[in-house]
Amino acid sequence: MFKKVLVAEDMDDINRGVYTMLEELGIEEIDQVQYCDDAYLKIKRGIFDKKPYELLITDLSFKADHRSQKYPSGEALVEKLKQENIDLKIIVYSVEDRLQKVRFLVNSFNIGGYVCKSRAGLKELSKAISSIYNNIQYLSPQVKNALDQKVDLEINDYDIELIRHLSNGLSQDEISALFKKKNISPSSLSSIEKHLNKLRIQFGANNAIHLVAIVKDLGLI
Amino acid sequence: MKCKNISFLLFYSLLSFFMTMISEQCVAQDKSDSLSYYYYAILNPKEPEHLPGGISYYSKRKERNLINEDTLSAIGDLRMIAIGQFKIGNVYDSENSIVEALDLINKLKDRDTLIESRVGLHNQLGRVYRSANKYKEALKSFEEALELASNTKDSITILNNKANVYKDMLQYQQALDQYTQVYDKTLGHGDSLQLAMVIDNLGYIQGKMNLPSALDNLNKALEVRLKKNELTGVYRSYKNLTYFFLNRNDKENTSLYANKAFEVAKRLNNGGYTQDALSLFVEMDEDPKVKEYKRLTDSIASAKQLAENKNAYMKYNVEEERKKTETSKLLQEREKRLKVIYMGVSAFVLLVLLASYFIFRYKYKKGKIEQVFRTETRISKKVHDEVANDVYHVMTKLQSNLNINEDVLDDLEKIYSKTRDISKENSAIDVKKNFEQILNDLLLSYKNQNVNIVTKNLSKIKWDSVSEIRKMTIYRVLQELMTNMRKYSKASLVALNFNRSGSKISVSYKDNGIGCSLKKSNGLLNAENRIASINGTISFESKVNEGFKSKIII
Repeated sequence: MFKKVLVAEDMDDINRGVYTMLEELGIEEIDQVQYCDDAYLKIKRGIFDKKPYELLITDLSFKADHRSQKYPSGEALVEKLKQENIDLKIIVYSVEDRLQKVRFLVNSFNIGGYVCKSRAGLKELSKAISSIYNNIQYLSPQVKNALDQKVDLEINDYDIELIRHLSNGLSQDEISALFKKKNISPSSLSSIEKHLNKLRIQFGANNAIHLVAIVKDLGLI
Repeated sequence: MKCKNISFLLFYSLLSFFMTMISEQCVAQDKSDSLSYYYYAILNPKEPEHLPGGISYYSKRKERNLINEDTLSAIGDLRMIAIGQFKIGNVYDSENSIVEALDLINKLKDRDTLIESRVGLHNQLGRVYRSANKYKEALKSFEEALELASNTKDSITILNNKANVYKDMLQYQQALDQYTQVYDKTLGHGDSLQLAMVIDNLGYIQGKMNLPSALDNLNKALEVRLKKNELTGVYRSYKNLTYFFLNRNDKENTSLYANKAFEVAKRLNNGGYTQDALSLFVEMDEDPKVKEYKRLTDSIASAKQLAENKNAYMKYNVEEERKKTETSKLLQEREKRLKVIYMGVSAFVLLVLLASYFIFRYKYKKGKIEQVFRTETRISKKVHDEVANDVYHVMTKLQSNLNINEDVLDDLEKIYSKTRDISKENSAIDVKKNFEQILNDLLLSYKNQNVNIVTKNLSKIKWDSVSEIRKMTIYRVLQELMTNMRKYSKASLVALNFNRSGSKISVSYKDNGIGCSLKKSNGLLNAENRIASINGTISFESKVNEGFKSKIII
């Protein structure tokens, strides 16, 4: 398990919860800061003393107060650390659960984990730490979709054409023949079958007839 | 070698210097040559082409001077033109030229310094009128000239001219008075030839009035003129003496002086004088046929003159009329042009005003919409950072307390997620780039085990060319619709169809939920307001158990 961990979080109660959880995980050295600037300085100091932090857990938004900050948000801090190529694993622990944000942070700075603050937040954070220790990226279930490339809501003209022919009473064989004639690809029977299956799932239809009914009801054809 | 070079240079530069001097002089001489040539061509014409040539030369010169705004020279040119036209017999043209010159003088600021010109012009005008038998006008002009005349010599000439008019009018008493006046002035002045002219005229009138000193005066004038050998004067004296004796039936003396006059006329070598002298013999002739011829010739000549006057007058009037119409036409056209310009300017101003009104209104509206978005974002951040965080706070605090009731935690979690939803609905979104992805993420967040969402043509719209405000509005309205769907519809499938036609973007929403009786929730009203603020339309359509439909066009 990690030996030296830094937590950047400005809420005392959350800090307390996180601290307890980290102790339960058996982490020896736990440091907590309430400002990102302090976090940056501590990390640099650790490197200077040849006792670097292995993991940073940081919130994204920090309440602004009388102290003016060079790094006013967790994002700014992460950006700076990545710029300096500091070898350090990072988990963002935030109430923010917009997919764009998560995707941006993961893709741009290659953070190790993203945990949403919720009722199950601490448990997820614990899971995330273990996962990252084993070099496996962890995202909270709410934001897991962020990196899922396959999630595409869009249906294309090909799909529409396919369903239209079905609604006109053509069999899959006939559609395949027609597509071949019209030079529409893919036209093989198997790929048409595959597409229809995909559409059935997408529209929650039990069979082809059900699919046509649903799509017609929605006014897509 | 060097020395040679220098001397050559010196020579060359001297040469070129002289060359320029000479050439300049040549040009100057040329100019003054033609000027003096035409000056004498008009004052003392010898060939038939002299007068027309002189008039055309001075006319061109006048135009040039007017263009160069040399009014003084133009006035001088007009005087010469008037004299030429008078001599050629174009009385009305001459009158016009003089009037034009007088107009020019009147327009000058320092006209008081041009007394000589004005006296000359008025005098010339009087002569023009006299020759056209317009005695009244002639007298008036001479009087004006007289008023202006400052030296005795000028006033003697003018007075003499005035007296001549009276003579022509056969008003001998007035003529006599004038001549006497002239005589008195001339005596003091002392130009013997001028005096001779005056005495001669005086004698002529006295002769007509049968006054005793008539012959004396006529002879005195002749004596002076003979002494000075002034032939034209001598001719006039002989002529007047012929008339004197003719009136008194003294045939011997009449014939004597008529012959003398004829001799002098021949010596003058001028057809006009010779003809005039010969007419004396016609007057002397006793033959009734000759007398009749003379009477007829005279009456025909005067009738012709009258007709010419009338014709010229009419011509002049027509010309004046034409000029007037032209000027008024020009004026009309100018007014028309001005009108067009004014109309153009006012139309332009109106357009600018209208344009700025619309621009201002557009900017004001845009600013207002932006303000709304900013306020929403600000409040959303506050809700998120302060309320949601605090609730989470309390939740974690309670979680660490082992004795806590799970129900309380559940309720607290509900409150937490509600606050987060409120915040999310209004949080800042950066729609500048990658809007398709942003919209997809939004819809994705409503997709779960039970709800499927399908989009059509979302990727086919070029979102980069859509303004930020419109993108923001689409985002927010879809958010409202989806939230509404999640809350009330129990739908398992939602289809969103995007289309672009021209500059309009339309989105049709349809779900397979339980529908509603279209009591608009806050969210839908909100969506309506947002669409209205950017001049779009949104329609809702729903019946119980038949799903929910909406169409947005912006």
